[in-house]
Amino acid sequence: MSSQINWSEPQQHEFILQCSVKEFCKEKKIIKRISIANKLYFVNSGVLGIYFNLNEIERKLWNIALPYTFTTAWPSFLMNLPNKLEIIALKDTVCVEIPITALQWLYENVAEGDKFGTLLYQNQIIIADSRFLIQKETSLQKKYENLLKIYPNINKHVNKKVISNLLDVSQEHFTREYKKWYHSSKK
Amino acid sequence: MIKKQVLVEQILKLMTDKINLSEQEFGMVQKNFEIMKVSKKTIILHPDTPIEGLYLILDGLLRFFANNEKKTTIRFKSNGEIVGDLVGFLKSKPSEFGIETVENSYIVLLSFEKINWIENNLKEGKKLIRIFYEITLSTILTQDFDLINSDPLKRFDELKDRIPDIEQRVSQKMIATYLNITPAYFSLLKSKAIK
Repeated sequence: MSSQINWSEPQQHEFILQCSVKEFCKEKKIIKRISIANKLYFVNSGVLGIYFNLNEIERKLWNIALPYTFTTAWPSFLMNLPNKLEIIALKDTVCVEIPITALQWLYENVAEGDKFGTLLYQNQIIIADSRFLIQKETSLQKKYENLLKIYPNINKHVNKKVISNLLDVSQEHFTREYKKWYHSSKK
Repeated sequence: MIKKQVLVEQILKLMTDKINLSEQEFGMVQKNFEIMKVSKKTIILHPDTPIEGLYLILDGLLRFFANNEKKTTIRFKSNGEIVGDLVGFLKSKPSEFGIETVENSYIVLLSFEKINWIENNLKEGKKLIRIFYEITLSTILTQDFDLINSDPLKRFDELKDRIPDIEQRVSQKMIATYLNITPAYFSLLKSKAIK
């Protein structure tokens, strides 16, 4: 945050006092469906999966949050609406949990607080729009290449099963196609 | 024809719903925002062209379309909403999409300069821009989730929630292409839903 805005050490200290460090085991549900999301998470280590619930039973992996990124169930967090998303730890994960009240404190008490919010949301808009374009793409290879543009190091953090879920294909199909691309580039 | 003063008051109302404006700031806003009247079926942004800014719709209906042969409608936007290639705008690159008026519309161009003006000249300008991005993010995600929902009737219901009189303003064919189905299938689904 200090790389994006100017704020004093007492302000930083006051803000940090409102936050807490949380450790989540793999498969722990951090944000549940139907609840109202009122916390923002900064991932220090590990990976979070953001799932969209299609109905009572089915859910789809919509996005992931890698280390040094912010995430939450954004529509619920911003609009105070019941949540359609679930956030689950895909690995053992350590996060800084930032309550919405801390963010509101930042906007009201730090001169560049609104600037931080603007930069945060601009970044999320770019990610969301990139995800939208991946969905619209018909070629699997192009979908994967577009995914790498958003997350260049994704292969270091998650396995092919997670990547195939993000691309909305079976793991077997993705693995088969991936080998073709990898072997064709080696030739 | 809508009077200019009515449209200016709309701009001010959209702003004062979110922030406080002084009387002096009221006057500054009135001087600094140019309202454009655009006839229907006018393309105000062509794909692969530089992006001047985003468009605030004061009155009317616009569609945001893909850069393909069919110019497939991706989103409909109506009164009080902002339309534009936001990612292209943020990254300063040519638009990957196009924007066309569906009916006669009154719009305001929000260029980089205009957004900077708001941030630097209104006391709560930075707060207004931050709230603008909050609303935009929430809208984009809600519409993205709408696309994940493969049931066209559910997507149509969500469109009607946002723009209740959409069927009176837009042809059935255009709604069908937005839902990514044929017009004949759309008619069939609607008649089954009525039964």
